[in-house]
Amino acid sequence: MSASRLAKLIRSRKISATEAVRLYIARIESVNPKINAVVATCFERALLEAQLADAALSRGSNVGPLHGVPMTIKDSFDTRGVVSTAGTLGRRDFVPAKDATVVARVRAAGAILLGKTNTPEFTLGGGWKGTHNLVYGLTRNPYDPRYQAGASSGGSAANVAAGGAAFDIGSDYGGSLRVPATVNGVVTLKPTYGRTPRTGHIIGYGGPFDSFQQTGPLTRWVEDLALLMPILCGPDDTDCAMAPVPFGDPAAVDLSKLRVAYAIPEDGAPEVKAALLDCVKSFEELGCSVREDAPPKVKELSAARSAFTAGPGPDWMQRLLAANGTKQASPGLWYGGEETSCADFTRACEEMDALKSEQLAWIQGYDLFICAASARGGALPVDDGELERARSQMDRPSRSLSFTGNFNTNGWPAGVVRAGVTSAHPELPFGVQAVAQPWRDDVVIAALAHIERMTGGYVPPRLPA
Amino acid sequence: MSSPESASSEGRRNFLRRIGGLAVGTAGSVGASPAAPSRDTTDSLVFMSATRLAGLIRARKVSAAEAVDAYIRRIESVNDRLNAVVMRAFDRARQEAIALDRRARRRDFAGVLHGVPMTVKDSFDTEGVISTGGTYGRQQYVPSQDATVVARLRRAGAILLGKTNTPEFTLGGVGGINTSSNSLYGSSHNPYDLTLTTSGSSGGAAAIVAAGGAAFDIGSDLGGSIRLPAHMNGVAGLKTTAGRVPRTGHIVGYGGVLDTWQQMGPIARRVEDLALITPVISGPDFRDAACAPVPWRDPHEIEISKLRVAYFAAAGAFRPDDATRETIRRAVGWLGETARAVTESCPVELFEALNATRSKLTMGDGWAWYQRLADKWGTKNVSGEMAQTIASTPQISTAEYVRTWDEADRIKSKLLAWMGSWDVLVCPVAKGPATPIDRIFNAARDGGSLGFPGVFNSTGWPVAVVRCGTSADGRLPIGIQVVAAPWREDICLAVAAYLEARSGGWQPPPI
Repeated sequence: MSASRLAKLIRSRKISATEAVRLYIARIESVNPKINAVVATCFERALLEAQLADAALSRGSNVGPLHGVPMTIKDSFDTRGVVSTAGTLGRRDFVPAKDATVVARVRAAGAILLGKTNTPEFTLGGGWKGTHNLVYGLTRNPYDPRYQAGASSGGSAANVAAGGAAFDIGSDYGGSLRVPATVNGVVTLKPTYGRTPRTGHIIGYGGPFDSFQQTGPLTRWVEDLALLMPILCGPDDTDCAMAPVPFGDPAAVDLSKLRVAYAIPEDGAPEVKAALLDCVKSFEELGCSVREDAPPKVKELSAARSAFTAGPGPDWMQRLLAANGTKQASPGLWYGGEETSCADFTRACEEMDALKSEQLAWIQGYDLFICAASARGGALPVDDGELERARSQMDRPSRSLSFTGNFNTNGWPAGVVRAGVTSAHPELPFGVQAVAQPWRDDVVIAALAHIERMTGGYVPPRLPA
Repeated sequence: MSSPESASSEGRRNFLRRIGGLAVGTAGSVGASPAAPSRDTTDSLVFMSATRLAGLIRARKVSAAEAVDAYIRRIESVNDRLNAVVMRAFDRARQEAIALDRRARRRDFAGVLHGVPMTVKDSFDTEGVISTGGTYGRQQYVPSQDATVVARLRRAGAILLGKTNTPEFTLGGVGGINTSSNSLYGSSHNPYDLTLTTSGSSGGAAAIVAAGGAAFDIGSDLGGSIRLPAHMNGVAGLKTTAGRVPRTGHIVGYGGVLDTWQQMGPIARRVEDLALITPVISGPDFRDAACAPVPWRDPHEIEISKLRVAYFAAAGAFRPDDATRETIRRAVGWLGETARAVTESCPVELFEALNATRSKLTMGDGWAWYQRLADKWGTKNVSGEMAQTIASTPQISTAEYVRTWDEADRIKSKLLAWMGSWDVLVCPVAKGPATPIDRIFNAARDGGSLGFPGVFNSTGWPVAVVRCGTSADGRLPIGIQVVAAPWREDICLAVAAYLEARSGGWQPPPI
């Protein structure tokens, strides 16, 4: 069930927090050996917190909106008292003294932490293997463990899809919430840059690449985004990039008035194209104006970002490794590029920003942009040989634009909801992406809710119960 | 002329009226609201506050044409000596005034600034009026479109009289940002002493507003460029929070590595005007990608009695003169009568460390970004010593540049946490009042530190400046900085208004 429904049942004492926590622990214990999504657990503390939560309810105390709701958290976030490795060997035994801001906020709202979910090293190290690191190994897809879970919030998405948590919180630097949500058939929102603090995340606030990184929830149902986002949002005393923009109520969005643009990936999977057209049609039926159109200069912005991030050469990643005491790094770890001159670096920044401005002028004409989260659709295989074949297909020059990293670079809100299954493998889900103007996360959530009503949304995987 | 006492009692009356439920403006209602009440009692058209003038025009006690004529006469009488207004749009201003007066007779008001004459810093594009930004390449440049802030002000009824002087690109020019001088228009002069600098880079703006040549002006601030001139010309200024006001149409616009340092804001004689004007120019414009739609909060709702005040009069190598320290001491005394707590505090090591990252990030690419700016506008010879500076500054490695950027952000985080203990910080703007035009501060020669205006550009926090004191010889204004946490312009303005009521704020210059 959804986190919202579970929270209501706990609050009305139809189910106890202890029962909920026990159920989710049992589910993790049964499915996790197959998918390796949850990599550290704190079950005893969770049960203790659940008992306290139940006691508070029987005393009639005021409780938060997530009272007693079991969750997991991506391992790139600090969790007080629970090992937080971020997939890097140097942090193998690191037990934070403090929760990351978003973790502290959901815990203060009553959520109970069951454990940590797998991430590639620093959320950047999985390469073609997806969610893989040298500390905990590979996370697999609950719809078919022969497939990957996507990256980098792969452990989060796989565990939520498998029913091992009511929700999880992940991070997204180039698609890291949206790709796993797509291939695990769950829901996510990468909020507008400036909404959710990154304090206590292993790539936290600061530096030239700061604005690419956003944190957000992974859930089974869209209604949970509306529950969680107001809890996660707002400035803290560390992340200087936050702005206290009020969070709009998705229920107040008038879907029939939206100006919708959409893009169909030219050489995308047929089922992805069909699902996108279905979405567009359903918005048209609501009364929306719809038009095939896409943000300008998507490829140019991607190139400018690459030139910008390449700037410092390997120094940036080497410092991250050194700061965390990691001597052996993942083979797939991203190191940037060849160091450029400082003048080229500052110019790349100017070019990137000019393109962001052009895209911003474009979205002024629309309220919603519907596109693929991944033109390919479903998950990549785990098997090396099959992965190699899939890769060689993907390495061919594509006529389709990629719409994941673009919305990290410009910081717009973008969410994903399940839209169907792949034709090659009818167990494997894929999702579609809804994007809105900056700060209009409410519009994204309202659009995802509409798509969910149309497609049915989340479908449980057929893993052993 | 308003005495401090009458201004203060007027303020109290307004405050009581407001808590009785009258006129609580918000950003959303400003455009349609009736005239904002003014606490100013000045009778001269060219010296009264913009708020009071707007109220009189709306009440049809003064016409826009009369106001425009009065300001034009004032510019014509003082500008020969000040060289603050460097391009005039008087004919168009008179025509606009006539059209606005016609609308006023139908009670069809453009907005809260209906008929109010303004000047605008020459670094902003103004449609139909030459906008040089102090650079040769734009000597004849006539923009086809107003900068976002200019368009918003004109839509709200303000009338552009002309453009005010700025160093080249607001940055370089002759003598750097500590003056308002360039090779096109020369130097602006301080209305309190014509041999002294207006400071920069919004020096023309502050000088003409101080001298009564405009009801207000709009400046920009990358390292003190609103605050230093406001201080040295004895007027009020607000550097808004990073992300509040779009930079579209400013010569150094949105984008690039120093983007977050650049903030815009009004310069006026009275603090109440800053509160009137800032909501008009705030909010995203779908061009400047760094703007966020954070709601504007009404400064009248701030209660000084609830505020925790931090202050410093000197810190580390920053040793202001006696009059400046005395100005802070008096301001702190006034706040001590009312505020919840007043504590001396300055994270000076963090300020100094952040200042060090600022110079590295500014010059790290060997001024390539500055050279590109010159190239973009077709300027072959940059003003003053900049050409030499560009030629003699080596690039650092990108790895080092990025390390410096990381370091700056770590310091900003620590400062944000520090500011969590305070609601407001009160501190000097500079070492002392205005200095001779030909004697720009030189650290090696003059010793010590210029202070920390740039720190609040790096952090992006809002800062108001208001005149609170006078130099030892009784001639020159001394302003102070009133700093708050990000997005809390309301606190800056409430505290600045309180200090203005106690000190008297702006005083007419002898010119």
